[in-house]
Amino acid sequence: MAIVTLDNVKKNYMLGTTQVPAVRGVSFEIEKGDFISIAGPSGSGKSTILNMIGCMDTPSEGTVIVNGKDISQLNDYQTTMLRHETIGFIFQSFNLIPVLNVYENIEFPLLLGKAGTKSSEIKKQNKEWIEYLIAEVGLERWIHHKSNELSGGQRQRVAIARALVTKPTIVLADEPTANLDSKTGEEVIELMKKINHEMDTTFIFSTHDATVVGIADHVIRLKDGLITENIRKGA
Amino acid sequence: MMNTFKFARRLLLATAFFTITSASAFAITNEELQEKLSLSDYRATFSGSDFQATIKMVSTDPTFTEPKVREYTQFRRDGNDAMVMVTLLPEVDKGQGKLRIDENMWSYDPESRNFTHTTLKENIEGTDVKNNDMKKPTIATDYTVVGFKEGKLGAFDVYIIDLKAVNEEVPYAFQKAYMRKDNFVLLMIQSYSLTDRLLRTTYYPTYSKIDDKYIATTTIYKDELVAGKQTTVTMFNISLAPIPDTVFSKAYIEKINK
Amino acid sequence: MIVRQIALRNVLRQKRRSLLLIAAIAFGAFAITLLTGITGGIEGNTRGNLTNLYGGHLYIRGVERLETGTLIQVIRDETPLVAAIDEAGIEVESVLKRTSIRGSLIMGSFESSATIMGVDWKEEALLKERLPLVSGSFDSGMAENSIIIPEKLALKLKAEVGDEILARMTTVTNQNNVVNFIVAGIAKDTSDYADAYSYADLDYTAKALNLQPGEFQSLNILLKDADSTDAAAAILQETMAKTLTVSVRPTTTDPTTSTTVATGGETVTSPVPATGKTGGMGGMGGMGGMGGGMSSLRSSLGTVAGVSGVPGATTDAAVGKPIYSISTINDMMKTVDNLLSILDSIGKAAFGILLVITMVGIGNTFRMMLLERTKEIGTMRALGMQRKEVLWVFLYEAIFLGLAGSLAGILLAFVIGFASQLLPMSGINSLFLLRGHISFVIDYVMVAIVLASLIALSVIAAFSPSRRASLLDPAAALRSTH
Repeated sequence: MAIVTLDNVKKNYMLGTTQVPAVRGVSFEIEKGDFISIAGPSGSGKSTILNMIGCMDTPSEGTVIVNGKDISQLNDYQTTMLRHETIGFIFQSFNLIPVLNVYENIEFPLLLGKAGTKSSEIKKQNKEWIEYLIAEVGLERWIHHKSNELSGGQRQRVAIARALVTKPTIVLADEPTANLDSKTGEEVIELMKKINHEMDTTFIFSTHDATVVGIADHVIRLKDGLITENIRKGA
Repeated sequence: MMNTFKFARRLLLATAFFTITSASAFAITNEELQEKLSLSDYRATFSGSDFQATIKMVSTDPTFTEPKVREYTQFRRDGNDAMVMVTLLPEVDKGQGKLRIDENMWSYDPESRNFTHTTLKENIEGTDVKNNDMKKPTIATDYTVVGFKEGKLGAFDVYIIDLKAVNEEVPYAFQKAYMRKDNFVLLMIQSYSLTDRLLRTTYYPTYSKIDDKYIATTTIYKDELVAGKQTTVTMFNISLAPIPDTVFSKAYIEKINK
Repeated sequence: MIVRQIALRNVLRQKRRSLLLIAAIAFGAFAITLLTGITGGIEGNTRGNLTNLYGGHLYIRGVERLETGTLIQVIRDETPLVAAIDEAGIEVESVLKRTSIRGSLIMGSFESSATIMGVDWKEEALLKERLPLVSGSFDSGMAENSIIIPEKLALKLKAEVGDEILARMTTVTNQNNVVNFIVAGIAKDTSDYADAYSYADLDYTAKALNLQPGEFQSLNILLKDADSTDAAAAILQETMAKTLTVSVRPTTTDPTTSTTVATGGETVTSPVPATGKTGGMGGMGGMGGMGGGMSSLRSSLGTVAGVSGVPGATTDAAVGKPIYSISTINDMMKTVDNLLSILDSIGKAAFGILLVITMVGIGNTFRMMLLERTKEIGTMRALGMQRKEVLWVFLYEAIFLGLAGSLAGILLAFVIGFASQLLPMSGINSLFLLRGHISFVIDYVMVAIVLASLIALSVIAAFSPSRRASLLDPAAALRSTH
């Protein structure tokens, strides 16, 4: 069953008074557990597509269905809820919250919404889960450090742990390796892949890094707002 | 011989004169003395003319290191019972003014530009002189003669007159007035409290005579409760020339300060 | 929870900027808290000092016209007054007969001005308690002409216990008079307001004033409950008016011009001199400014003390028929309260201006924060933070700033206020002081208002930028370079 469905999606942006098409009619499906790379040069529309899958933007035409919900039909509160419950984000420049330490950054999504009403049992479970994730990304020694005390690779590991903490069905990663050296980038991708296997989490990432594309088992290539290639490896 | 006769005649005349005067002295009554007091008041009251003088007050006090001097220009119009006094000395108080009309008195402070109502029974600042002392005398109306005796004050033969206030609002309950027998001029007044204690002695050592008026050019006020405390008041530049009406107003006191 | 945590961390993040805002808020809170604390202290001290000085909260004075037309202050017979107090059902602690003489005391060649209160020693237990003596005593050898003088005066006159001193004064009719006293005690200098007064026997002072034994000038009532002063005055007024002539208490709305005299049914209106020596209670209303206030305060205090002779009363008084007037501690306090309310208004205006400036500062800071944190807001929104929560992150930041600032200011004001109580104050009217020291009285309501208003105003100032932050488009915010 498809976890994400795009059906003839078009997206136009207003640049001054002229309409600029960013996505010009794209349709594809992503299955649960996919490790999918959306590749293409900058300006090809991959960020726009990622934003729509991430419920941060809506299509000008066509439908985007995430986890069975048409995002065009939701209001801000509902899309935020959908994001919170379904999607984890990994950003190109990590976007950790500077005032929080490693543990708190990872914990952050769990504390949103009705966090205050959770029982101590759940809180205890959450704590174990966060500590597990920290171990998983190898940052036990850095647990109380703030983001400005960490290296790029370490920050992205924190971001990965944060993206996973709500046990999302989909993790969106926008150029996750762009700000990392190639070795660290590979390690990060390896980590994502490992989690993909262990937890059956769907990973969708935009990239123009060939190495990253190589690891993906589903690649969609874009150019000028249109799909040029949609390959599913080993399927 | 001629000389002897002349001498005898003179002696006779002199004897006769003294006999007459002393006889009349013995014959004087409380009522007559009351009239003499009225005469004394009349002589110091300028109802037909205005009165202007410079008044100097020199006060000594055991707590002062040196006497304090105050000087005023005084304008009096006894016909309307009005008076204005403007301070000349000390320098710090220069321009302060007092205006009195009947029983109402105001003092003006140029600094705050305010008139404050004061009473005639208050002392002039830092002296033993009461505001009341600076107006026309009313001893004959304020006091009743209750008795007298004869005596001497220095070289002068005097009546020592016992006075009692006509009501409880006169500044002193009792006074003793020392009046010269020959010309009925007051030389000294002793003022007593309700409890019959001597509070103040006032001396009039020098007088100046203008027409039928007697002006006490020197007055000494001696505090009898505090030894060494007294104020000597002297008057000079005396004039009985008419004073413009405008002087007796608050506006005048304000104006001289501009 | 996380919202407050992030807000708090954000406050701490830009320490210098936050400190600046906190300092600005704190300054306002400090100034207004200190001011109200000190004016409150002045109010309380003045009230206490006056209550102690006059031995009560309500004062009945009597005025009588003499044959000559002069009005004098005297109560010849207290029986109808005491009956009225009983009938009115006022709960009294004590009822004291008093006279007051302003004159001077003389010993040898030393003379010093003095106010002598005539008191009935048998009834003045409280006064004795409040007047610790450095030498002499109240009880042994108290004669009719015994006097208790303050230490300062004793030093000035070089007088000791047992010395005879003279007192110069004027009688109720302003006649010069002098009586002798024997110093029975010297009151310790506690820098208390009442310290400046000498105390002597009621009948003896009456005699000095040319009153008869048993006559006095005012009847001062100490109530069980000070807060009931106004009510008690009203009831007493009403009760006394049934049988006695009582001048109507001036109201705050028309304090200067006239006073109405109720005479058991008939009502007469008559003018009251508003200023000057015979000012009476009317003198208190004619307040033009600070200076005028002080002088009218002096005249109103003088009046209750009975030293200025005639209180505000009708000129229509019949000869030999007393007219009574009731004044209260609150009447006397009006002048002080007026002064303080001017001070208060100035303080509040300054506080207001300060607040406006601070609010502009807070608003600007929050707009800057919005720009700096756009990307962060985008991230939080992406991670599932709702708009409302973003709004609250910012608003909590404003709340914390307001709270920290106002608490710091209030605490500093407490510290300075209480510390200033320890310093002896010279050059300030001791009427305002408590034994020579200023008092700092915390007005908890005011503190709560300061706290609440500063927090509320911080929130109001921060609201518009905070709302803009919450409405940011998450995708666009994430693209921001900040």
